[in-house]
Amino acid sequence: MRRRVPAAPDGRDSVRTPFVAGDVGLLLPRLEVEHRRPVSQGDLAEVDTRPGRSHRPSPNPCGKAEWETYIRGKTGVIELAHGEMIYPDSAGNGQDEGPEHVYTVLFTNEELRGAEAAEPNGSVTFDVWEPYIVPAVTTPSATQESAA
Amino acid sequence: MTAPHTVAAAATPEHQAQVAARVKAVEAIMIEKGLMSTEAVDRVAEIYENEVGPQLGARVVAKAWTDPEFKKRLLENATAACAEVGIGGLQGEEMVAVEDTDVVHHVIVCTLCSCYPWPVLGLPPNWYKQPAYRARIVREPRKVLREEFGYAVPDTTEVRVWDSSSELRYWVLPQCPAGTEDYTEEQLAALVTRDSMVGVGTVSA
Repeated sequence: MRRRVPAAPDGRDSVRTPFVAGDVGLLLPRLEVEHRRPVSQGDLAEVDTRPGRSHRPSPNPCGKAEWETYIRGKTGVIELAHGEMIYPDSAGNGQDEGPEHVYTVLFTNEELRGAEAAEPNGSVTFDVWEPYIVPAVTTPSATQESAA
Repeated sequence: MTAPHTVAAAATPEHQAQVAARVKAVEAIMIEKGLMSTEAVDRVAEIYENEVGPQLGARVVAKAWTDPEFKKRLLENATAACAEVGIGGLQGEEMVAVEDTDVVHHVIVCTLCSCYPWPVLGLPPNWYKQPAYRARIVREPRKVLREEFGYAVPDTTEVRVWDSSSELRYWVLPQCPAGTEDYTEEQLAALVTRDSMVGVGTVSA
């Protein structure tokens, strides 16, 4: 279920428009660089679906630069905030480590599979680097309802 | 205990042989080019065959069951807690232990490859690396646990699947079985299986 996020400063639909410089307001708030402190625990976020943000080859096979299709465009809750970690999209493409904040995001099965197909009473967590998520303006209950 | 899994059977003997041949070829080329030595390969194999394995994770679990303060530290920062008892290293730089309760049962996977917490579990079993397990466990975990691993999670218990990434390694702190109140830490550790720390099995006394 695709979620809309607050309009970008110039009024663009930020979900479908790639980031440009100045779009920082659409990202999750920067967290203090403090390891494993779930500062934004409970925040809602949406995995980014913008073109060019997926299927980037990475020598690290688990860099999650190659995004699993099951997770794209889904809305989940930040479960853990891990602080900054090496960003595979950068380090894996011959650039510097380019650390980004990493979050463990929790998705309900209903959000991922739809109410019909989802196994009941289940969830999946997925690690997301900050450039891949934008704030979602919804509540956990709203997520459940619209998935149903 | 791990019963034969049909998810593992998805890897045919031919496929396994192909993989083995490819690995041998890569190893031979790397040694020939002087990128590594046979001694180094043998030593790494020795470490993960004899020294590092689920018996280490079992020690940590048993300690968590008997020491509430340690358990608290383990759940807050598994890497640091494991380091307290001399456990850590490759593929375990950022570990997260997730606790099973009556409310939620955890299971781990790496949908993209085979990320696994080596310092506490050793090398992953073959079925963990197979596409069948990786694809199905995120789609229908309850069914996979029941049909492939003989583990029926109660409907009232949430099943939460942790999809590992390049940086983070999750593993499960299983529930301590009933009737073990008089067990020593060593006796408890002997009960803890690899499968229970992956989340595809339980611990029984």
